[in-house]
Amino acid sequence: MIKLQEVTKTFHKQQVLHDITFQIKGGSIYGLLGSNGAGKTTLLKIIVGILKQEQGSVQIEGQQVFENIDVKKQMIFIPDSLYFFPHYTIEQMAKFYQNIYPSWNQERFVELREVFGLNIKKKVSQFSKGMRRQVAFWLALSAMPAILVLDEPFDGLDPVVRRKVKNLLIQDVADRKMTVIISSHNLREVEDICDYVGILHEGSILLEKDLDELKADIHKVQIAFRNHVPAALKNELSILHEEKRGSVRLWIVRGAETEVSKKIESYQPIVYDLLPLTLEEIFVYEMGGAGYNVENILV
Amino acid sequence: MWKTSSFKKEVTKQNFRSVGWIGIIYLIGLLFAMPLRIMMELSSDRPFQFFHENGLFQINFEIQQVMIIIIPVLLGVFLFRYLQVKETSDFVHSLPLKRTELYHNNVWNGVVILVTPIIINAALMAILYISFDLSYVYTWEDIWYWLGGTLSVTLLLFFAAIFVGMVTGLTAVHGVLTYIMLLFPAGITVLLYFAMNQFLYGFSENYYMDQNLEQLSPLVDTLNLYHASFPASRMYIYLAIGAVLYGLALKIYQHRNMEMAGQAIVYGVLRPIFKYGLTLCMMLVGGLYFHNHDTSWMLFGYMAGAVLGYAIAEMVLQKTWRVFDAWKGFIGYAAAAGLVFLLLQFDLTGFEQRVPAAANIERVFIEDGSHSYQSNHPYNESGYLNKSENIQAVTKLHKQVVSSGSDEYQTGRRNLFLAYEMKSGETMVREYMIPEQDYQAYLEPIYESLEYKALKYPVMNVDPQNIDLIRFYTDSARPDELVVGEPDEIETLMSRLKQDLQAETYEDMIPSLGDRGDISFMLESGMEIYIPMKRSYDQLNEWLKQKGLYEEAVLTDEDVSKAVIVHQNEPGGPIFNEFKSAAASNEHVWTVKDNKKIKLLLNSKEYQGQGGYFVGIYPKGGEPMIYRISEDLVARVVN
Repeated sequence: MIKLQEVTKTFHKQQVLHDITFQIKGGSIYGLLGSNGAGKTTLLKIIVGILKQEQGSVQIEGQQVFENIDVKKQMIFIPDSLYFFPHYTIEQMAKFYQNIYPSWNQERFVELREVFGLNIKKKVSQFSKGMRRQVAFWLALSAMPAILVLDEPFDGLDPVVRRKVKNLLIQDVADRKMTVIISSHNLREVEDICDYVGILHEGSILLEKDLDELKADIHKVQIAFRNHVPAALKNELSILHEEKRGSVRLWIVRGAETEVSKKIESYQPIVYDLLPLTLEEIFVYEMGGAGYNVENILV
Repeated sequence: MWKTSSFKKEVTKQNFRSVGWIGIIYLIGLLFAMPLRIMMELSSDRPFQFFHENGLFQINFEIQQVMIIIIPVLLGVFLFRYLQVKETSDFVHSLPLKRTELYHNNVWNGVVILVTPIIINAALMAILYISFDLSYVYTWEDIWYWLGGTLSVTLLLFFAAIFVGMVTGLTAVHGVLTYIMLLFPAGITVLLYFAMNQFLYGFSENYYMDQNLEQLSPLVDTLNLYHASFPASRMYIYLAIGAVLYGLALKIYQHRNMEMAGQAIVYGVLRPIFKYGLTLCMMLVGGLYFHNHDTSWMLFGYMAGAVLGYAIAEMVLQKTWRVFDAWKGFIGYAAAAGLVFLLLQFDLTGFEQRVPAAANIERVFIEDGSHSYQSNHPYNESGYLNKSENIQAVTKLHKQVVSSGSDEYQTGRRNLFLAYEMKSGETMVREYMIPEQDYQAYLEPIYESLEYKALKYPVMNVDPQNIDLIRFYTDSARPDELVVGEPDEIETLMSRLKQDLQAETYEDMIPSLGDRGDISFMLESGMEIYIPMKRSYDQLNEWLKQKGLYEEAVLTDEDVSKAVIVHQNEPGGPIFNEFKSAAASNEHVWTVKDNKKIKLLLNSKEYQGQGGYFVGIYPKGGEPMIYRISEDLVARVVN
């Protein structure tokens, strides 16, 4: 479990992060969302122990991260702008990782060669941007980290590779309870793999949600009644949003699915559909209520 | 201090892959500079005629010096470049390596890269020494000295570079700041001395400049390696400073904020130090640039330098040249600097007016320069005056100098250097340029005192029995010099000379135009001391005449073929050239052949005239002796 408490960080007398408190459950995939400049990268660098917070604490399994080798051994950070030693081949980089990370799994490295299909004798600098990112994933996954921290990881990857990488991540999370933190400015990019989502805005955590709960909890309902909409039903349901399309109403309703259905059906609507919501829609409705315009926060 | 196991093989490998070339260049450079050079000399027929006196630094020192100054700093910069680049810094610091571990790993990799070429080179020099029996070229000690000197300077510079690397976040600034730091103590001291000399009447720039300033900068100190004047103790000191920097750098590294990569100065505390330090330096440089001009130019220099320094510092810190809005800090600086200027200008510290009370003075050193002050030479013709009447006379002179103030445009000035040792143990040093003729009344009692003469003429303190030989070096053209070697003759000569010296007046101390050469006293100890030969030594000259030696010892009118007086309207350039060019023209040239007039010239003391007159006295069969003379003397000789 990763636990952040009242983490504060200042650059050049400007507070970049204030009072960040949240937890990430072991074996989950956490999406850290926010627009550019929200402080995502800084927060990630604090979590992996590159930067030191001025106040507050970052603990992984109860241990401080900063300058703590035992914790850092089990953690790999893939930054937004990748770095490989100049003139190193994939093989040489792998050797380096093998020497540095005790959990390195050479078999896995060989195995993943099939997946990525890159020439290990070639210098990393000669690969394209997307390929270099694949190399980074390859090396990281071969080191078998307990925690993988990814800063905007899917930039520059084509959809096929993106799928491939996501599958690998999900597989590791399922097989060996790896914890993954992914930062992104794009909700759609991560909604399919994240279990939890946190939104960072101007240095503070604005909102934190369990996606399964969230999805189970909010529903889009299309409904039409023979006459008028029964006022009693509207009182019974917690409706976040309402639109009219002729005689059909479109409601965004909060509540357990079965309960919502039961209540609605008891008023015998002539049309009734319960539709799934995209994550983005959920956020739009959730945060719209909180007074934020999601488009400004998530680009 | 650290576990060997914590050395990560791959980190080391990476270091050697990325910076190993520096060690290879160093090795190749050293091999070409030293062993190959020796072998080249061995294979040629030329005899070795160098470096056996001052050691191995004499061999291609320029190459050695360039490498010793550049290589360690270059290595330090490259080795810790990962700190200055954001991507690298993030990558390296995300690895499960403690900063301490990384630091030791890198530093010791660097030490190996630096030290290996040095040791290989020393070993090769030793092998050459044994194989070719080069004991006539250098010695074992020379090899050790070279090894110690090179190692200590190299390591100090390397650790200095590492230390600076921890403080800065830009590679370019890292390199430049390292050299600035290595030069700073010496540079700022020199600049401050220059400035004090401009503002404080009586400040002895020469004395302070001679205080082994090169020790303040390891870069300049490398010259001492060449001269073999770099003591072993300093090697230990350098290594000790290196060790301190090593520890300090680690402490700083542990607290470094990695997000500051890309910033010129990583620690907020150091930013103002950098900013105002640079402003101060540039201000002093500006003042120095205009130091030969009048006060308004000098002040302009100081102000322009300060503005420039402040602007450069801001540009480096903000990483843009558009820093026009950052003037607030400069106002504060200017106010502080102005205050210091006022302090100096109006002598608010009392420096210029301070003349110690004679009662507080233990002894005083008076000379025409600081060069012989604190010199240990036994016969250096200077020393301390202890007698109270002399101390009083010196303070009287000093008070007169202080109250007269400085007049740069006065002619006939000479240096006056004073060093008081107070009863309290303090020392007070002053230096002035004084027009001597104005101070005759004050100088006379000092110069005529026996105590002063005993210092000025060390031969007065010598027992004649300890003198082996007395020589008169009076005419370089005549090899048959006059030598006195009989003990009883020496005794007589010495007693007469002492009488002359004791009786010598202030006037007589100034040599005449015809005086030339020295009397040399060869002591039993092998030491040779000299006094100038003068025609005013009556007792001595009387004795010489009795012995029939006077003609040989003293230049008389008989020895002179002619004297040529010329007038040069626009004096400038060396006196010899001026005379020659004026004598070549036909105007204003007078040739004097009359013996009486030549005698008058020879006995005259009126030289250093400013009227543009020169005299060339031509000894028979010799080169002319040329002096400036006064118009007055010319009037007496010509006509």
